Amino acid sequence: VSSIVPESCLLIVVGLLVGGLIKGVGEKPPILKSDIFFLFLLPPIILDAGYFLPLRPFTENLGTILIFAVVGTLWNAFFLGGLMYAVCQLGGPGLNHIGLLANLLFGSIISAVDPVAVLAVFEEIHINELLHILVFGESLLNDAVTVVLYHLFEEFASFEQVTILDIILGFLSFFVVSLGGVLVGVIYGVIAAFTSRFTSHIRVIEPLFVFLYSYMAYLSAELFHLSGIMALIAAGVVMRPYVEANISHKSHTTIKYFLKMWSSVSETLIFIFLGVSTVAGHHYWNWTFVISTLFFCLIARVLGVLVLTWFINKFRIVKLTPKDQFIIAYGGLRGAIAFSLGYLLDYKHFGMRDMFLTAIITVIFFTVFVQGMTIRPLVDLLAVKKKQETKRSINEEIHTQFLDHLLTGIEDICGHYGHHHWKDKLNRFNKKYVKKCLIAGERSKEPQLIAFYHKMEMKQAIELVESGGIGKIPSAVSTVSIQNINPQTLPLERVLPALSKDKEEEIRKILRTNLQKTRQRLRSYNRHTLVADPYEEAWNQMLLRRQKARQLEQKMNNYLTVPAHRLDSPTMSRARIGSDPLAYEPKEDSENLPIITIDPASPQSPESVDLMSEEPKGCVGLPPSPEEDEEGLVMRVKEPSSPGTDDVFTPGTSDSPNNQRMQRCLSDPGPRPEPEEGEPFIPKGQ
Amino acid sequence: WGQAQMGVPRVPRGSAPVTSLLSLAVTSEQIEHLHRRFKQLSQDQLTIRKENFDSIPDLEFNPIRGKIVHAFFDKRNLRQESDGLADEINFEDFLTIMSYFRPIEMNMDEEQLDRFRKEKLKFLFHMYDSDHDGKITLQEYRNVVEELLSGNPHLEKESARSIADGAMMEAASICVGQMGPDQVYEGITFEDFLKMWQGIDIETKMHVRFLNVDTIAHCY
Repeated sequence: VSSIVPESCLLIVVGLLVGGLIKGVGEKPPILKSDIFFLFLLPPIILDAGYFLPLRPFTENLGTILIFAVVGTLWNAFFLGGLMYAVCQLGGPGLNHIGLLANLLFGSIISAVDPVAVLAVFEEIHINELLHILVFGESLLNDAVTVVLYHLFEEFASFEQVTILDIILGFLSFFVVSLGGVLVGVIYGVIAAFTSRFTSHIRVIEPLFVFLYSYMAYLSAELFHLSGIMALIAAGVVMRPYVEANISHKSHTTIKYFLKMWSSVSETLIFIFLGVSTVAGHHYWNWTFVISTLFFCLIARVLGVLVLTWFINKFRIVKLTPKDQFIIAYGGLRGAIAFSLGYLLDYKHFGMRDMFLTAIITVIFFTVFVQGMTIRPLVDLLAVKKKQETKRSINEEIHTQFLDHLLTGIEDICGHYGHHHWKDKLNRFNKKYVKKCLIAGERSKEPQLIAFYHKMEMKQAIELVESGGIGKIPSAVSTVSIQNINPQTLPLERVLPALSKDKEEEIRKILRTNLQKTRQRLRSYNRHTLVADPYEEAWNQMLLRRQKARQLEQKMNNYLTVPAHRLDSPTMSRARIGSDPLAYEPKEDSENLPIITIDPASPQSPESVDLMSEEPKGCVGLPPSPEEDEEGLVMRVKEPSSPGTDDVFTPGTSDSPNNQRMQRCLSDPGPRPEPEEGEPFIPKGQ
Repeated sequence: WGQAQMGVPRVPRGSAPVTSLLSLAVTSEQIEHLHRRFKQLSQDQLTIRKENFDSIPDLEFNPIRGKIVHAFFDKRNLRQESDGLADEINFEDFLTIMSYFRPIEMNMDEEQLDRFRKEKLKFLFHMYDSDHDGKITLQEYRNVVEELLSGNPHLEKESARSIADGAMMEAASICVGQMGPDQVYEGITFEDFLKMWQGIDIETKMHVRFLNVDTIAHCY
């Protein structure tokens, strides 16, 4: 059923049933009160949308989105209001008393496209990114217009006369509301980013900061009658890149899941309440009013989209086809915001409030049910482009960056201050000043490509772990190894294995899995030691790796042949160390082999062998960089100054005696090691 | 703002008539604008040399500056039969290079679109393939990544190298699939390059707008 009926419809039906049930029992069913809606139900959804907003398509289409949001909503409001006024005048005795202002107010309430409804419906149809961001962006940004118009008309309704001055002031207030809202959001976003810079010691409450600051942004904006939604979006967008660079991986996951959870719950509640309120509320059904409202809403939307698209297409490179226009027009769903705004209306000034509410509910039902249900078959029928489910690969990232720089360069050559030029300038400013303030430590200098590569490695690691399990090397992994692309670099002596990168990865992942499992068992019962994760984990890691690497010997038989000592990649040598616990001399890097140095953030604590200990014993050596936290086995930018966070296997200069001592203590006496020419790891030939 | 069909544009004396390629979508206003810019860059000479590009202040920040300038003088991009680098280019060549960045038009059919796309990708390919042998080898790819990351002075070469290697392996696995340990992947050929770019619709991305013909950035 869920393939035919979108979830929102079902929820409304559930709400209707529940409401009917309650009424049937004789109790008064709860209605969706506006403050509950605006204060508690709406913000999580908007924050979720803003925090995960795909920024690139949004900014690329910002002009279009703004025009649709502002001009489109204004057009809708006035067109609808005006027409309804005409209808009211002609509509007979029941409607005559409704003034122009009341109608305009009504128009402004109902003309705004609703982000909740759009999200609910568009999420399921997986439409292509451009259309999605257009409709969705419009629904988010038209809040400013709605707020201004609503307050304006509400105030005007209590005036005796409306002067031109008032109208001009109203026009100006639009800018104040929208820009003010954005400003409030940006300020809170920056504060949040700045705070997150210092949270390296209290990782547990990092998600809390994100939520708190965003909610405060929303409340502050609403307090001053600024656009709360825009503030929330701005805060989320601004804080996201910096916060993500600062917080730990776990916090990031937490934030993601909490946001999704809250927004999901909110959405469900909103739709159910809508259903209940329909049953519970006082209704005043006036055929003319309601039907004409519905009718004119649709017409206004279609006309607005057509005219605006014609205008916009003059400035767009990628034009909007009629198909796109149809989807945009059809996707103009109304939702709970309209209902709540209507509910807020004062009986004193607006006696026909019930009639308005009825009409609003009817429109909402129509758009959500009819349009929501039919949009999916229409999308299929019209063969609208769907979302491409491609994963971002490192190649694409490289190419996209290359293209960006190329286009910026060409723009500079042409002397044209275009889109790319300003974006590049912003990036440079960001890198030079802002990032230094808002991102802790070393991460501030990390270029985007490297950060992306890290993220990708992490993702691959997690995927492999989840899919592969312990010991199983997934066959889906490509067997293209480094020899395939760089064959001439291996001296022919004792050929083979530069261990291919993928196998290195696998080994790493396998080791990690076991680490994670053991770690979980040992884990802190105490909140305060939870944060010491990166420090204490490393010690246990080292011990476990030894054991696991020995276990892996057998499995690795199939993959590896005898490596020459000189050709060892670091991981190979480390794996060898597992069975050759005694001294290993680090070889100098051969220029030709790609070397991925693995440096987990790990201080050495040679004294303590106690697995059960949860306190990080004295850190020998290094200030581990806080941001390395969960990233363990990733490629690291080497800092020239710091003594280097040593990997537990590659003995640093000061640590080698300790390491060797440890190794001797912990491991079984392995095959006799020799410092110069190590015994082959796998005692067999080809 | 329509696309004017060009016959022979008003190009300064000495240049041959513009090729048919430019007869699409480069309007006379844009040619005017570009000509003004050309004169600025060349200091009123008829041709530009590499050194003239040094006078653009904003270009200094660009990490792949070298490759961009190189691309202007690459004879393969200039549609000349020979290979190698030209020493200087005239306005027509300048326009030829610029034509690679024109935006897509609504009335193109499938075949035109395909050709359009291939042209742009060929331009990019030439930028990657610096030794003009028709393949992007591992070394060249590494070079590209290093240049991209060259804005950060404290980055180790090895990081760049690892990224390039990882990317290359991915490219190999996309283009060739499973490879035995003995096979060697020479480099990315143009067909492979096309495959890699399938996910990104370059026709819409690789363009420069010439909307505002009045603002011209300053040169030194």
